[in-house]
Amino acid sequence: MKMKRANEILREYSIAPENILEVRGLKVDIRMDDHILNAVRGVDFTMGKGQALGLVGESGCGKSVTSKAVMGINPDNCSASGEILYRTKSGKVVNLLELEHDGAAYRAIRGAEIAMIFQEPMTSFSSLYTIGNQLSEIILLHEPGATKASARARVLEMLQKVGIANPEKRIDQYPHEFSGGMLQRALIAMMLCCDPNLLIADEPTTALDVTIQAQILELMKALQKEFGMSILFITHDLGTVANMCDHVAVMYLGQIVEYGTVRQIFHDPQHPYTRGLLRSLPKMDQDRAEKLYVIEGVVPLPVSLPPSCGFHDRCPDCIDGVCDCRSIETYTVEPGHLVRCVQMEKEG
Amino acid sequence: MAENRVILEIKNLCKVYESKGTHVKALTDISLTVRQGETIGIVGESGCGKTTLGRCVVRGIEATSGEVLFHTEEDGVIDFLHATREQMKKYRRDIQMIFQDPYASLDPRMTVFDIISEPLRYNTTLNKREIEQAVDRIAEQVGLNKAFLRRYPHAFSGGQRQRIGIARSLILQPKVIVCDEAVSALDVSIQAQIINLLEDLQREYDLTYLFISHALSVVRHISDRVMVMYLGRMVEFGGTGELFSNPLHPYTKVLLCAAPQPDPDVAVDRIILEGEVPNPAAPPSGCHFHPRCAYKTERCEREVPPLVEREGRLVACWNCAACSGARS
Amino acid sequence: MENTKAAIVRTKAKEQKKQDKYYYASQWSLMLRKFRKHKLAMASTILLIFFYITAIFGGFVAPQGTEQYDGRYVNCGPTPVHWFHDGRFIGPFVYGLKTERDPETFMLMFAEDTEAVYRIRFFQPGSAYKLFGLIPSSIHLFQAEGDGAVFLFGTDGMGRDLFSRVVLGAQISLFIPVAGMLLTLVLGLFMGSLSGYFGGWVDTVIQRLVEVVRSFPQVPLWMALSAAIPKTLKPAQVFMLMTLILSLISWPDLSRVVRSKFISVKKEDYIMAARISGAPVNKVITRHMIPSFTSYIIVNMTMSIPGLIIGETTLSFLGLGLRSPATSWGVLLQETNKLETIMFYGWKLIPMLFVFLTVLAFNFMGDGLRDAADPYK
Repeated sequence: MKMKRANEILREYSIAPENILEVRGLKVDIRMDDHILNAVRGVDFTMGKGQALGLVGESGCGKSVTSKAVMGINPDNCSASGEILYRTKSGKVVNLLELEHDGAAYRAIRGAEIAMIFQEPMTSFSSLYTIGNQLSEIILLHEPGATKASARARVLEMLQKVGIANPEKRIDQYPHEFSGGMLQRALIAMMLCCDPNLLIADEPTTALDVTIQAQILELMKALQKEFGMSILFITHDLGTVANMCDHVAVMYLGQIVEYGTVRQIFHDPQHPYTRGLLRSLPKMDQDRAEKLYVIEGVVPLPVSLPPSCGFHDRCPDCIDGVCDCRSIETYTVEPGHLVRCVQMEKEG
Repeated sequence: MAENRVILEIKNLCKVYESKGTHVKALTDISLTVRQGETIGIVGESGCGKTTLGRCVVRGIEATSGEVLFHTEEDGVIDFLHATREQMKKYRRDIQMIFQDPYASLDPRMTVFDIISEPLRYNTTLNKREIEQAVDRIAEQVGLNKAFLRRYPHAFSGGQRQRIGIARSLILQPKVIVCDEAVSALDVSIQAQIINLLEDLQREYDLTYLFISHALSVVRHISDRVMVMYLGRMVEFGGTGELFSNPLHPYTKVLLCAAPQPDPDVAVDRIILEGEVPNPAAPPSGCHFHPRCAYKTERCEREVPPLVEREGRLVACWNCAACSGARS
Repeated sequence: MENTKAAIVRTKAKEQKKQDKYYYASQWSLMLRKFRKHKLAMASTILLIFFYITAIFGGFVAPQGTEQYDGRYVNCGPTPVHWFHDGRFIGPFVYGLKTERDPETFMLMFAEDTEAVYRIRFFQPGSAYKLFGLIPSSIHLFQAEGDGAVFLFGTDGMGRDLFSRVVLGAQISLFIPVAGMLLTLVLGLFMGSLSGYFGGWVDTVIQRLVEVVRSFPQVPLWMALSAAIPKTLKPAQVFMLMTLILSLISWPDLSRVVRSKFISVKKEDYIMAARISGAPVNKVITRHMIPSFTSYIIVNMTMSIPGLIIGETTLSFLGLGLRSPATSWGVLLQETNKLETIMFYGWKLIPMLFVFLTVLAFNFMGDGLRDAADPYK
């Protein structure tokens, strides 16, 4: 990450009043042994207050790197450019990319303002301390006035809220005594303890069984309503997105290829990739004899890509001489429905 | 499908893991008859024993008791689990497996050619040229570029690796393939490619699949008949269409509606199941599902429900008549 | 349009070529490639190769044999090598040495006699030795002509050339650890495989044995074992016994590594895949299991050599290993346990520098190997 000198005067930024996060032209390069991966290649999106945005795409599309850039936890071999504008609880707009990763300013935001939950809840806990200890530590860290007793009461309340039965007993147990689903609940409770504005959920239910997954998704929905936070939901599972989110951004090869409301994306997909993705899912009501639709080919490595549509070599509608040799802008097909595809140009 | 001959009979298969005094019953009394050319879907949550079942059938691990009867053309029925050395040598190749993790299942130190051809070295006496031809043929069939055969697995993406794994299990021209979560680790667009490939191969070679998966939509798409497992026991077994449209066991019901659908307007009536899958080392008494079941009665806590035939299906529930009436 | 397209095709082809090199590379060549990038490890490797080659050709490189000494030059400091005499370039040479007594301490001192010029001659016959212990020869890399004496590192209390003794000592000090390592490898691999593959009571017995061996304090155990070496043995036999002692003490660590690798690899899917495809047990072990952890073993072995070097040095230093006139770095360091050595004869510490450099180089090399073998980097 770019280091900024502390005495440099931070630029003033502003974002639309209804938004909590605006990402503009975000690019992230990852230095590998002998090449550079352009993991994120110009991503723009906005998140309204209290809304849930789903960032979907297949592995390697840059969705996780994008979310980690917001959280400021990408490893050192990543360099990011662009703007990630975030409105803090006090109403100030900061560009998160200008903050030092380990600086006090970022630490004040991380956890207290922007929280993150991961696919593997086990890795977020230390196995040496009880769940209660770890949760109250967060409260004591972020709230100057809190005492040990008040923190514990708060933890109990939160554990209750995330549906952990028998919290008085559970609070003094260690992470290994929790099952995966319970641990994910505890992680959600941990993040709720700080009452964040924005929650980044990176594949929070992928490692869980379907019945447990349904429980966690329900829980997250209920909590979102109650606490009014915004959720950035990162997943490869289109079913989860359809259930959880208000808006969806479909990513492919480091770019957002389509953005819209859930209904726009799932009922009226415009980008050939989104369409293909939805058609290639086996449906519950599909006939056994029917063959699955297939997007041919594989995702290319994002290494020194020429200016072109990232999807052109797998696209059934690729226009030779256009899609493969110029970069593609984003077109607005409907209010709030953006598509990065030249086909949209013709249609207006 | 019904007229096809039986190829595999699993009878009272049990597997108990023992360690330091605790007994974990991973499989309890699983019986199943499989016909040639069909696909049996095996679904359930983690810890239900579906992977153990698959591995016991291919003898990747040894079952504690029970039989896996393999109907051969020449030697009649042999018990795969207690076969003689000669029988194993002759028939092991007929039951193969495709693994879930396309990264862990390929030896990173061998070239793709060596990986695919390895089974031939142990089971046939083909010479070098014949092996090369066989590998070329199979590579083409599973959609691998022949030019890439001398590469190492790290050069390939997940989908391509899974093709390599499929080529390896197909090269011996087996009759039965156990697909253990064969597409679960793949991205959506790649998953569709592999599912279609598996279906094409099945048609071409008259393969029989035991398709183990937790992804219900995939199982529904690929299977002729489906078996639902919970904590080591079969709870329901029946034709895919009927089972998915009218599940009889309460657990099947919950499972079916728990998976989120890729449509924002469908999500309305979900039954959210309370509680977690119990610890298999200390399973609940009676019907294992009773602590989470909405229809449980006192009897469920005491007695294990037997598998009974109902509406042409097998189901293990004391109250399924009541609950299926209540729901439909 | 055509131009841009052609350019794109060209860049793609270039990229493809670069990737191909990676795709066709085996794990070993990938590891080697990563290792080459580790500068410190590469430098250490080159240094070690240099040391070992020097040691192998020790008889040739050293001007003196182990048995030789010269009573005239006792405790003589390093003799400088000169190139110019009277402002004239005449190639490398040394001046003759005169002895003087220090007027206050009455210590013998050496001074250069700038009248006597002895050129250094290369590839001339000198004292007889056996190359690789087999081929009789008397050609030496360098020597002073006539009566001259060249002591690059000075001499010891018996007038023996320290440089020669460092080079010849390296034959012992560098090769005992390698031999010990190889023996350790055999023992560790054998016991570890037994333990890891079979498990059960075999595992239990071997693991308890490992714990027993590991709970002995090392130095006293070395001492006890070495004290049992009869004093009358030939240096070659002592060498063998010392190797044996060192490996008897260091195999448990390796066997633990092998055991845990066996246990973890046994669970890998590709092992099961091989079994399902009909591979017999011995093929599973030799084709899949052992190759999967060879790199770890190599790293482990490299990292264990410094311990063995120190072990040999310690034993010899304590007078329990080889004895003069046979030499090793530890034997050479025996002389350093006197105060006067540090006060007056600083050059006698030079063998320590070599022990230090070698141990450091092995550690760096092991570090580089470990990084290169780590698939997660």
